[in-house]
Amino acid sequence: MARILVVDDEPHMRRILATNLQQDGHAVFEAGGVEEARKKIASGEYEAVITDQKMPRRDRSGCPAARTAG
Amino acid sequence: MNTDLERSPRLIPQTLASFKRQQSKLAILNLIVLATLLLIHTFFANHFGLPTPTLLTMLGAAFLLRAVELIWVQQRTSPLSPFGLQLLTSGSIVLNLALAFTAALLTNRPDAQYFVLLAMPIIEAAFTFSLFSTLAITVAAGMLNFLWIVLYGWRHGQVLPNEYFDAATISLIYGCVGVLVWMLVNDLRTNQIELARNMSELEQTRERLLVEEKLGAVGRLSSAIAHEIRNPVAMISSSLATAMRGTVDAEQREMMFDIAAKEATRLEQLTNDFLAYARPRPPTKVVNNVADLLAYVADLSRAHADSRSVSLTVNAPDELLCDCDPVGLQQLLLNLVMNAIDASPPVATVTLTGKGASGRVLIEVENWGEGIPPDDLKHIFEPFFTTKLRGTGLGLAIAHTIARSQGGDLTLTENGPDRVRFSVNLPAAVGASIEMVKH
Repeated sequence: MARILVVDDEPHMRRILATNLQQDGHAVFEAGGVEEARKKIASGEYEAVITDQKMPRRDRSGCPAARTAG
Repeated sequence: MNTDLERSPRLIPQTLASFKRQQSKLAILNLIVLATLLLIHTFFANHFGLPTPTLLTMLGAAFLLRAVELIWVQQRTSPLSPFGLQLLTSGSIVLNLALAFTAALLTNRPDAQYFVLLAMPIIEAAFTFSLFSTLAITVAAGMLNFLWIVLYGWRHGQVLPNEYFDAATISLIYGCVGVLVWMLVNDLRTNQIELARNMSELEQTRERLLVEEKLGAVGRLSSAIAHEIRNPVAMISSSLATAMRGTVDAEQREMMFDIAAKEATRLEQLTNDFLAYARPRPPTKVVNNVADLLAYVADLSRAHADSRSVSLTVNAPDELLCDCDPVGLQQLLLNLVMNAIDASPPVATVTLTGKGASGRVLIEVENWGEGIPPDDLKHIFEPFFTTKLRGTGLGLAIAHTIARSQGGDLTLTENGPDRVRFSVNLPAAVGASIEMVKH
């Protein structure tokens, strides 16, 4: 079992991924955007982050969440 | 495309207008020369003797012929072909040569002023024929001059040597005129070819750019459509596959079906929106009261505005009428107002204004907030361009299409730093006989 953070601005896609990962026995955490993902990564330990590549950011820099999280 | 032009030594009238201009000027010049010569003959009757009835008849016939030529040229609906133009010029040259010689014979003087008519064939040849042909006509004119002196000497027994000298001088002037006019015409022709070549290159470049632009737009549109469709389709298939897993409980299965249904609805909405953009319904124009229309759109948007703590204000004079399709205009304004509400900070105001401006009606939708970033400006009316989290990017594109289909336009008239304003320009209603629409 792994702690996985799913980052996607599409809530439906996030729910589908989370449900499937939970079915496989993982502990799944969700973030709906770059800022939220950054906060969660700063405050918790995750073995994997699954993220959408392109997400809108409040500051419109278009920086992928993976880069921020990594 | 310029091969005919480049092969030809002539100055070819390219259009009907230039053909009419060139041939009319030559015909008018011929008419003026004929009239002037006859006036001179009458004015100096003491010296030349009065024009004989035969001469008068001949000059009158030539005048009539030139007048008919002028009218015929003016009434043409297409320029003459190069061959037709050569034929017309040849006829005109022969006519003037014959006219000058016959008039000299009828005047019966060694200094017959009608030889001035010989200048016209030389000018016409320089306009229409090659340098060689122009020189040939010049030589023919000179020889006619000499022939007349010889003939006069033969008929009257003697010719003064200065008559030959005069004929030689006049022939030299003919030659100079011929060469000079041909050089000028040739210069014009070179410029004409250069201009035609540049125009052709410009046209080709314009066509190539248009094709590239169209291909680019089709590519961007296809990519945007694929992207917008792929996401909901991927979610429908993933959610259904997840629901089919034996391990999920009833609640999770329910949630997956719900996601599939919502994404299918989203796909349907996207298709409808895209059709509204790509195939807008034909507008049915009627007279609309702008204030009523704006109030109706504000009412429709009120719930959304309240949910974001944004207030709506409508300003329009009661008597302002526009000639437009109310359904299309409502959709256009609703898209603008929804965008304005979404772009507004909390506790802001969105203002809908209607005003008349020189036969047009101007409707403005203004919201507080930062302007649209400069990089985004050129894309705002493109389909599928959006900066919203949940936007399809079709709202402004549809609004723009509707405005155009109603004989108006939609433009961004103010952009920041603290407010954004879109303006819809529409035709004002002419007369009040058409049925008014109530909202």
